[in-house]
Order: sequence, then C-alpha cells, then structure tokens
Amino acid sequence: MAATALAVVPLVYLALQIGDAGLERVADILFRADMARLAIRSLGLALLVGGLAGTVGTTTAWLVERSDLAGDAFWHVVVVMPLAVPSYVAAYAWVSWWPETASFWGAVAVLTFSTVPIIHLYVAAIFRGLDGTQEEVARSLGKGPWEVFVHLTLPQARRGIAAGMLLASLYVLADFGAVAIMRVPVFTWAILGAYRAGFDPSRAAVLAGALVVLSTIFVLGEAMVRGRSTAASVGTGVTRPLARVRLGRWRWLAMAGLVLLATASVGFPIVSYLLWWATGGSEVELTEFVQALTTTLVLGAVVAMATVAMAVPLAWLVARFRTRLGVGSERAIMLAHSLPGIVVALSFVYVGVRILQPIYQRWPIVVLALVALTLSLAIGGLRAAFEQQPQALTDVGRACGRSRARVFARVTLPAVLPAIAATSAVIALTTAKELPAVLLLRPAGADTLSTRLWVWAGVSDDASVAPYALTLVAFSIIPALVAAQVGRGRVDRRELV
Amino acid sequence: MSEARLSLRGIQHSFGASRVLDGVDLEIAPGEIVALMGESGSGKTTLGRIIAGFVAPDAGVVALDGEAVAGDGSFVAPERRGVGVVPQEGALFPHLSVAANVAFGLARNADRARRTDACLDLVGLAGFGDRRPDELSGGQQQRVAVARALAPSPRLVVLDEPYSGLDSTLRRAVSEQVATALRSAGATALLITHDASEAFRTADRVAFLDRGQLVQVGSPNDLYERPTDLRAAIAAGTTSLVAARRSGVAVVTALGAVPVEHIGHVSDAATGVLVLRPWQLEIVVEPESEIEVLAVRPDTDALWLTVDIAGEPIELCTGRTAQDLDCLTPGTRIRVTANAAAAFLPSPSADT
Repeated sequence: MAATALAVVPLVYLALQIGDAGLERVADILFRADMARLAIRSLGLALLVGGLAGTVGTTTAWLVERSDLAGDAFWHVVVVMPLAVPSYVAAYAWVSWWPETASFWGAVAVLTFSTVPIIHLYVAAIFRGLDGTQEEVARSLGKGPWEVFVHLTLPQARRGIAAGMLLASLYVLADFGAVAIMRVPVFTWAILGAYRAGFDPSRAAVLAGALVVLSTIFVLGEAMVRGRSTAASVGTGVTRPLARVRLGRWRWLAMAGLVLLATASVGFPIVSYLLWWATGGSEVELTEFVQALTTTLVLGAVVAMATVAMAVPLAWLVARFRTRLGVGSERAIMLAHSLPGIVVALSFVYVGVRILQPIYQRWPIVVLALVALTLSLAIGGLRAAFEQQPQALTDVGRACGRSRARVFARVTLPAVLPAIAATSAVIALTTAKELPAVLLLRPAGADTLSTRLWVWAGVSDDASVAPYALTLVAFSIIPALVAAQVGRGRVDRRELV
Repeated sequence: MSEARLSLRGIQHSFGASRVLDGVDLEIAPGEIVALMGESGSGKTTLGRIIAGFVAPDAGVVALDGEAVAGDGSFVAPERRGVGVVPQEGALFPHLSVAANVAFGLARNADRARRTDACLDLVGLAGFGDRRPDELSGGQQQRVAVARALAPSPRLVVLDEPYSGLDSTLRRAVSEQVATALRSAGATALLITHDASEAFRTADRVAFLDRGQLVQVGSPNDLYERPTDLRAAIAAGTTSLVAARRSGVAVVTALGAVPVEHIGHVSDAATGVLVLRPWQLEIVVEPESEIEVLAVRPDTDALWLTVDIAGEPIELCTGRTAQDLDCLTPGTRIRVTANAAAAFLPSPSADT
C-alpha cells in the first residue's frame, strides 16, 4: 500500500496544483500559442525519433539475426552499447564540438542514437523467436529470400516493431537532458523553465499535466499494439532455427553502416571525453569529484535498498495470488513509471511544499522521489523471478510442517536473491544517471555525478565535464552488456511476438 | 499436377563428424507415393530437406525428371524446385487467413481464387477460407498445410511426419483424407514417417532407412511379409523373433522345422532369426505338450506370451482372441505351429 501511495500521491498533488490554479488560469496557459508550438515540437520529436530508430533498429536487428554478417555476436553488443551513454552525455559532446548542432535536428539525431538499442533488442528477440519452418515452406512455395522477408517475416514482426517504436517515442517524451543541452523547447525543458523562472507553479503543473496525458496515450498505444499481437502462433512450436540470408557484396555496405552508427553513437562521445580529460590539465578538482562520487554511491545504495524493500512484497503478492488489490497496485505503479522524471520531480516539489516541508530540499525527499521513479523497474524484474519459482517448492515446504512466513524466508527469498541483486544494481545505476529529479530536489550545495556534470556543462567547461561523463559511462557499461547478453538468450517466442 | 520422377543417387550428408546419410539411392515414379520409414535419427528428415533444397548434400545427385537440382555441380534454390513441403504441425502462417495461406504460392491472376477454393475442397475444407489458422483444430491445420503445398501444382510433395502432432484416432482419419487428396491430385509424394500403419495405408512403396542407409525398398506387403532387415521387420509390425538355423528349404527352430520361402543364397546351416507375424503362429492348448506358458501380456491387438521350450524362455506374439485370453494362463501347456512360410533373416556374419 505504501508503495502504491508513493507512486500515486505525487500525481494527486500535481492534480491539486492544477486545480488550485483555477479553470480560467489553466485555460489561459493551455490555449496560448506557445503551448501549441510546444506540443507540436514534443510530439514531432517523439514521432520522428520513434520512426528513425524503428527503421535503423529493425535494420540492425535483421543484420545481426537474419543475415550471414560475420561477427554477429560482436555487432549485437556494439549496437546495444549506446545504452551505456546517457543521452545528455552524448548531446553535450556534439554541442561542445559544434555549437550549431544544438537544434531540433541535433536532438533528433542524438535521441535516435540513444533509442536504436531499445528497438534493436526488441526486434532482434522477435526475429529470433520466429519459426524457421514457416520460412522454409514459403521458399518451397516459390518465394525468394527477399519476398519471404517482406511477406512473412515483416508482417509477423510488425506489431512488435510498432510497440518498440512507441516505447522509443515515450523515452523521447520523457527525456530531459538531451533536449535541454540541444536547447529544444519541448515539454520537459519548458517545465524546468517554468520552475526556474521565478517558479510559476501553475504553469509548471499544467505543462506537466499535458505531458502526462501525452505519455499516457503512448503507454496505452504500446499496450494495445503489443496485446493484440499475442495470438500470432499456431501449434505447439516445433521450431527450426532460421536460415540466414546471404549478403554477398552488400556486407561491406552493412559493415560500413554499423561502423558509422557505432562511431556516431558511442565512439565519438567517449573519445571526445577521453580527449578533454587528457588535455584538460589539472583544473578538475579532485575533492569535488570524490564528493559527488560518494554522494552518488550512497544515494544509489539507499534508493536501491528502499525500492527493493518495497517491491519485494508487492511483486510476491502479484506473482503468487493475483488478487485484485495487488494487480491494481501494480498497474498504478506501472502507469506512474511512464511518467517522465521531471514530472515526478515536480510533483515531489509540490508534496514537499505542501506536506513534507521539514524534508523539502533535503535528502529524504530525493530518496522518496527516486523510489517512486524506480519502483516499477524493481517490480517488473522481481515479479518475473517470483513467477519462475514453481508453486510445488513452497507446497513441499509447507508440507514439511513450516509456516508460510518461514517457507518464504527459507525457500522463496533465497531463490530470488540473484534477481534482487541484479535489480538493486539497475536501480543504483538509474539513480546515478537520473538528472531532473535530483536537480530539482537536492539540498543546496550537494551534488551527484549527473548534477555536477550538468553544472559544468552549463558553463561549457569540457575538461571538468569529462571525468563525470566518463564515470557515468563506465558505470553503465556492465548493465548494457547484461542487456545485450539477456537479449541473445533463447526466448519463448510467445512471450515476445 | 505436373508430377515428376525423383531420382536420388549416392546421397551423402554429415553433420560435423556424424554421418547422417550414407549413399542413398532411390527412384520415385511420377504419381507414385513412397513412404520413407526409419527410427528417430535415422536421417529421414535430412533426406527430405535435401530433396526440398533446404540442405545441400555433401555428395550425390538429386534429380527431378532427369534434371539435376542438387549435386553434379548444380544447386537449384528451393523456390525454383517446385517441391511442395508439409512440415510437422503444418507451420501455417499465423498472420494470414486459411485462404491466404493456400494462395501464398500462387501467382496473382484471375485463376488464383478458383485454384484456392479447389485445393481447400480437395482436403475437405471448402468454406473455411476466411478462418484464421488458430481457429482450426490440429487436423484441419494439417489439411490446410497439404492444400497449401498442392496449390501451385508442385512436381513433388514432401510430407515430413505430418501427423505427429495429432492423437491416434484423428491421425488415422486425417492421413486417409490426405492420401485421398494426394491421389486425386495425382501427386508424386514422399511421406516421411516412423509409423508403419500410416505408411502402409498411404504408400505404394515403402523405403526403410536405417542409420543413413536404405536397407529395404518395396511394397508394404514386401516389408511386412518378406523383410530383409531386422529393424525393418520390427518397424513393419508386431512380430515374434525366434532363433533359427537353415537346413535345406526349411529352418530349424525350437518350434520345430518351418518351411521358408525365398531362402535365396543363404549358406546351408546359416543361423539367424525367423520373423513370425501374429497370424503365422497357431497356438493350441495341449496338456501333453512340452511347451509351458510362463507369462501372458495382452496388448491392444496382440497377445504376448513368454513360453518355456526345453528350459529356454522364448517371447511369442499371437493374434488376440477372447478365447485365448480365457484359456491361456501361466502353467498352461500349448502346442505352437508356424502355419505359413515365414521370413528368415540370417545373422550378418552368415550372409554371403
């Protein structure tokens, strides 16, 4: 219950804040010309990036999974690697070299690079899950490899690709750092503006409300597209691995494309920061860096522990009993997760101002906001771990004369410990990378790696930005590798198609 | 239907170090249905995939109407071979309707819809065109897969264990419908199966593959009554196997001397086994006999007996009748006669 409350209360306060502004004021904010421009720009950015990343990610997934391109395992990891580079870290590298890239199209490019891995992982899993026998039958019916791809593979992967594109668009709507660095006035950046410029709480709340509505449309769209695609398999699944398409001379073009993509999305930013770090000299203040690093690590650990502590019972309840209350709580939390970080941050500002005055702009409220942001992540991972445990295991424990609680502690919990460890690590990393929530709520003078990076980026001090950016990238490399690895494992196609 | 003659000559194939096919020769005449039988892992699915063009053989030639489609320096892609395929569980395209599945391999012309309907009609599914594959039963899905394979009038159809996903009662009905459809389409077909009754019901000839080699090719009756290979004999149907030694035109067994047809060029005094089908054994209760029943195990359509003949336990299998069940109990003494010419399989070392 506490978990659900934590996820939902900020939204309630956001609504209260909008209510306080009064209908007239809300209408006044909503129907100004800049609002329409904001909405069109936000939507345009989200849809453009979704479409571009969808095209590029589907192509890379096809190359890695369905073509005879040499070194497919290597290329798979390379394509997934941008997950290790936070979008604002990538954006800053471009803008610092070429200030003129700070534009709408610059944001389109950087966010496309960031979201290609999302689509790639999604679509590669679908391609892997398809039945090779179907393609063989199609070949025997006179269709060449290209026709088979167009008439058989693509139609079956279509909904999956669409769902992946909507996810990428959702990511773009929620992105704060890259658009702020690229100076593209979209909702997230405008919300910060309203918060900063003498704190116009009504305008910030109305903007946040509009963003919530937009995000929800994308979340529902994604669920709808994905949900309708589940009927897509017949028979009990005697499957055969898929034959790979010969690229012939095209393989050089394919490799050149992949190299270009990897260079632009990962190589260029990392090399830039290494260069700045190496040539920047000793202006970087070590104590300041160590302080930010320590703060980040401690905050990450605290948030991870708090989130997991809240998520474990809820995930277990949902996995085991599927009561209406449990499922309802889970849905509420999942919906809350689709909220952009800046909206959650702003909601906690209102909560802080109204009821949690004593902890406002102190660490506890930062922790609360981060728990609210990461809770759904934890529940998703843990629920799967609980569901994988056979019911028979607990039944046997009970039959041996142990109480339900004791069986949970001695049998169930130890079995999900690896999942708990993995989830904690992911949450700590998300915390380390999180920008807007920490930026808005942190105590005066305190910084994490990401906010310190933000401050130095604000004054375009490349050499000072570099160590923070590189540390964040180093932190993220392991989870990116794990994501790539998990994606390559054999998966039940019914889960994915 | 433009049925073709299929010729396989010296087909060899290995996966890594293990040889799956080792010199397979087979001819299938136009319009003929041949069943390819063999145990799991005998290489029958690989042979089917080589014929369809999904696998290139390491050596040997696959020819359709005398034109090499694999081997001899040629390789024709599966989409240009005209070999229809019906895989296990059908592999219907889940995103297409039944009609669209059947029409998948047809050119977009005026005749398309008519041909689709005709093929659905052929497998007894007229009017099912608008359904989705997941709305069909397993047997119906399999029949759609057959219609889909027949629609473009292939030169040859390969059916790979097409009924393995169906339960036994449905399997019989569906296999008969499919056999009828193949016959009325005049298709040349290779039916891959491990089920003898399925092969016997459907095929003109049966080819038995054992560890990568064809050990016997002949009519179903040949395989049943005149097996030339022990595994083929066992696969072809329920049988008693009794140790035997040749003596003139008969073989001597614990049951006495049994006349043997086609003893061929087996050397005199060669040892081996006698293949006795249930109907070839006559069992009569005879209290004076030296043969004693030790155990009785009724099967669905046969009766297995363990009998003691001069201190040796021997397994026998006879047709099951209600009368036998009543009077054959452990301790009963019986007389056993082999009542027709049985097949004698000499041990490999005695084969000359």
